[in-house]
Amino acid sequence: MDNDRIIKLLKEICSTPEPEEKKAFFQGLEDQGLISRRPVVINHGDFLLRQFFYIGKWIWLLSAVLLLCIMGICYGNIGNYPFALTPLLAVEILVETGRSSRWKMAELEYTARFSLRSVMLARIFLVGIVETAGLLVVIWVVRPWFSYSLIRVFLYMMVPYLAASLLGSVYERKNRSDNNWGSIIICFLSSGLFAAAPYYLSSLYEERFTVIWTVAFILLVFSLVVSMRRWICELEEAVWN
Amino acid sequence: MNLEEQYDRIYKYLYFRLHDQHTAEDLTQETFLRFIGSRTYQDENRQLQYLYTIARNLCSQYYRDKMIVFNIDEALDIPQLEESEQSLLERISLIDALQKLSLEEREMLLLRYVNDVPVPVISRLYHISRFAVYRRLKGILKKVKEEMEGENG
Repeated sequence: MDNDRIIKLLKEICSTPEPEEKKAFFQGLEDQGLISRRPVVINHGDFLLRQFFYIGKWIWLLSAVLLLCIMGICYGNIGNYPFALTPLLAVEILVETGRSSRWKMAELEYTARFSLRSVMLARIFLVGIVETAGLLVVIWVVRPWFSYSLIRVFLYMMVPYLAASLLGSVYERKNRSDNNWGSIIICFLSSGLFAAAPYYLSSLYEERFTVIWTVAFILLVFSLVVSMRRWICELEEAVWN
Repeated sequence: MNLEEQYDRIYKYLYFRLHDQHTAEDLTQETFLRFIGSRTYQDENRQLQYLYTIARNLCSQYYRDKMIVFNIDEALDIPQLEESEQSLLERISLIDALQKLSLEEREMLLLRYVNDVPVPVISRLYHISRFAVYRRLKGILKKVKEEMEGENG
């Protein structure tokens, strides 16, 4: 006789009569307010906080390292090259969007209390908001090291970041895969392009083009919102499929 | 932790030890009242251990108060006549084999294989390592198996 058979028999001989007062006991506890059998409702703040701790520590670490690098390069006063580093910040948002499928966790998350749409929105929102806040602090700190106005430094930093985020999100939307290599390469290519820009298009950083940078910034923000909205909508389709 | 699900398991554990439905249910409720009453116990990972500790202590106290000697025959389900002869014999030989085990050994089998209590919780209940729990469970099953095979053949 094998162990499984013994365990099966053990379960059989240990069968007990049904408890008679269980229902009344728990009802009594609930009436006295000692327990609640209704699902615990958590507010948006708690939900976001839980998601915050769910995001990998390496994402925050990498963001901090990148922001410090941008600050360091700005301090070194090497022209417009620091602006080319901001697209790399977008890598983290894009990598976070693929986390579920990368770790084959999507199915579990689909059945969780919150929809995958809410979970992904919360994570993108958190990573995006923290990175943008970090970038704004960096812009404020490094501004005196440039001869540009605050608004221009802001535009030169944000436009490459938003461009990489937009291209990466469009790529992720069109090509769903288990890895994020495509969008990572896009971010590095964007970074390379902006690094090459001061060489080939140095006039781009002249004051007269500020309007173009501003228009680009507004268009990118708008396109990114539209792209993310579509991505989130399609995510729901993926869930149903 | 789902309290209602654990209610059934604690009840089963106490029934197995007390072999009286009403006493088992009374002590199960007392266990839960004490558990819920102790708001200071916040560590979610140890809630199950805490629940079984309360149940075990209540059971020991009950034994002391009533001067009861544990009789396993009364706690286990007596085989029914309509069952196949082979199954019936196996169940009887298992009950006999279990009688030869110590209370702690029987309790460990019940916790692990009937109540599905995780090994880390059992290790904390008995203050032994997880490895020791695995080793002891393996040893107990071997003992039961040998006893049953000895009886049958």
